Amino acid sequence: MRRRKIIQLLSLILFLASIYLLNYTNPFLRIDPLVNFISFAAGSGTKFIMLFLIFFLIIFIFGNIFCDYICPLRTCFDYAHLCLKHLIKLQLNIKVFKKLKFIILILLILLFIFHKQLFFLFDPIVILTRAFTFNTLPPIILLLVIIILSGLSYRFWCNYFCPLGSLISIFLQTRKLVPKQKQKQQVDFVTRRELIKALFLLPMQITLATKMKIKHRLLLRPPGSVEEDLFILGCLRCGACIKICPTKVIEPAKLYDGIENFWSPKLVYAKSYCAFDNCFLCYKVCPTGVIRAPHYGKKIKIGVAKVKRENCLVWSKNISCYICEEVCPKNAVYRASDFEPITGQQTTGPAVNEEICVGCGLCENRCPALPKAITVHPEGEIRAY
Amino acid sequence: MDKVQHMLKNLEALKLPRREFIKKSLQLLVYLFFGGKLLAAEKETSKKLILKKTIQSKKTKLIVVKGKNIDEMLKIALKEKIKKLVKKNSKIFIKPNAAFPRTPQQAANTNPEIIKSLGKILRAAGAGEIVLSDNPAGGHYTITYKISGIEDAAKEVGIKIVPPNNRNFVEVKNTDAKVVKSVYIMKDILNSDVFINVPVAKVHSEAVLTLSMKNLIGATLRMSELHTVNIHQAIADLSLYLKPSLIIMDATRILLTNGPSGPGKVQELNTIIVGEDPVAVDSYTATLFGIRGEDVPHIKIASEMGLGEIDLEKVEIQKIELN
Repeated sequence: MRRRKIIQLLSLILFLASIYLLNYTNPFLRIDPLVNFISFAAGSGTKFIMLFLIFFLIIFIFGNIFCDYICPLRTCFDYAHLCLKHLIKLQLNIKVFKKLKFIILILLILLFIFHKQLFFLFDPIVILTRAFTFNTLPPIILLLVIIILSGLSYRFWCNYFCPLGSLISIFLQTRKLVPKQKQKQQVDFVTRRELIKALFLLPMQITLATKMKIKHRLLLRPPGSVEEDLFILGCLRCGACIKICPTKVIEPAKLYDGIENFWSPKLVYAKSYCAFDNCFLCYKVCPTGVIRAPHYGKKIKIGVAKVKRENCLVWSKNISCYICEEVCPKNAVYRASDFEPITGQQTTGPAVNEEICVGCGLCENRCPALPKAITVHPEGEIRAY
Repeated sequence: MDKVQHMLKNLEALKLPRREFIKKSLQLLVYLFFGGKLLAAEKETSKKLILKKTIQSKKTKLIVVKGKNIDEMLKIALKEKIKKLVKKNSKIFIKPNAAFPRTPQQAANTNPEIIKSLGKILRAAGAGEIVLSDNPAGGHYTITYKISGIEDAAKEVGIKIVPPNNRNFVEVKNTDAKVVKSVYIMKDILNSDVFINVPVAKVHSEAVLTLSMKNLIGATLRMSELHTVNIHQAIADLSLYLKPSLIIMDATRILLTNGPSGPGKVQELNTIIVGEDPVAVDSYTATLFGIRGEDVPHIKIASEMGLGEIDLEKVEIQKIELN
């Protein structure tokens, strides 16, 4: 027992250190089989399915070492339980709850088949990562609620919710096939009746999936992102790119950005801008590879800047501002002149060369006009893959 | 009584921020009540104020050094001035131009070699804390400092880099200014004993040339607001707020086209101009681009406001050429 506790604590420390010190993918997200499976499904390469298979091979040989030794969230639960068990003892012996985690896993897999990825809400490693990487409060509250509940009722999350744990425990049933293998504990498995029940939910799933196909708003994604469909499918909302970004331009999308985009990374140019080819750090930390290394042969664009002449100080008020021209790192802003259709007067002002513009948003960030006269739109974007 | 009047005058002349003002006036009260006990401390500060004034009232003099070895050039140019300016443990603030994510060869930022040798000279003169900061227009400071090579140069000689975060700025007001009535200025400049401006000479799409006065925009916050007013007047106004004790103009290489961000045509001049009068320095540097100081509106406005001497015939120019 003592050996296990020491390894668990070391694992938790390693996890926290890897969030704050590394500028490449967190190793815990790299070994998480759910993450690897999603990465593979989102078309990030066979490397991920290999990692997925290796994980289960190790589990098959050594037993459930992931939950017992590695999972940093369970370490948190155990310590929370140690602190809170003397306060209140919550007994949860509801019948439905016992099968809940298998039902959740099946629902998540079914949803995934219909291109609705909701694993990001349930994966334990991602939940823990998000609490440290997001700059907003809800993920922290979610984590605290889970930890406190698990402190009150022993391993509440692991026993009733964790889809990763249920996947592993289902898989461990195969160990029964190997002779002379002593089974230490009996795992509640889904009975046939439960499975049929879940399958009956299938029509509901389909209708839900089609209903949810709301035309979602196109957002400005980090440079090197894959096509939007795959991006939504593969993005775990772990917030690694939000944490690593040196200019702090990436923010989790809110609910009003569309349900599908919820918590996915978007670029907000009101506060900062994207350093683009001077940086390209976000792809290094992305665990699922939906933000990929931009290969320099192909041109990529986050979006394209557009000038709104009615807001622009130069076009509308004839103040010689041109700050967009001054700051543009690609020199895509130039001085254009135009004839006003009514008066016939010649007016000049900034215009954007849409060929050169990469949509880094520095012009939008620095624009002194209110509302902003130059804004970046995702319509002209060129995705890497 | 004379002393008190003199100090009051100094307070008015400096246009101190409120906190500093309260601090100074409290010191004054204490002085009035407790007589000569704090005399020693007060003497030092009043001396400092007088020092700053005398430098400005002296006859304008420029030192123009040409050569290849930046270490030597700076050593010769700053030989006398450093002795006067830098006392033991004095706090020094360096304002380079690190506004764009461009390499040193692209001439959009101050040459990091100059920062390095300046740091060495200051250390040799016994300076205390040396602080460097710039609020870059063309990118995030973490990126522009790194690519411009200034971060590495500063680290090598032990210069502390202060990030231009909002909390490092204080609001300063000046009623003499025409368009910039109040501006947020870096705290470290106000707290420093010596403020050294190290601009780079390059062309600018709006302000014609980016020289020492234009470089001061990087010491303020919300710089894009300056573009909503007459930018030439705004640049001249800034010199009312920020008065560098020393200007080291980097014309080792100048950017001739596509300024201020570059990349554009670069010409190697191997020149460093050292002076105290911002208008004279800028006026001389303008001649390197083949125009006169009067052709650049913000220099002209600044000279009309009495901030310095624009006429180069009235300026004592000491030219030194090194091999």
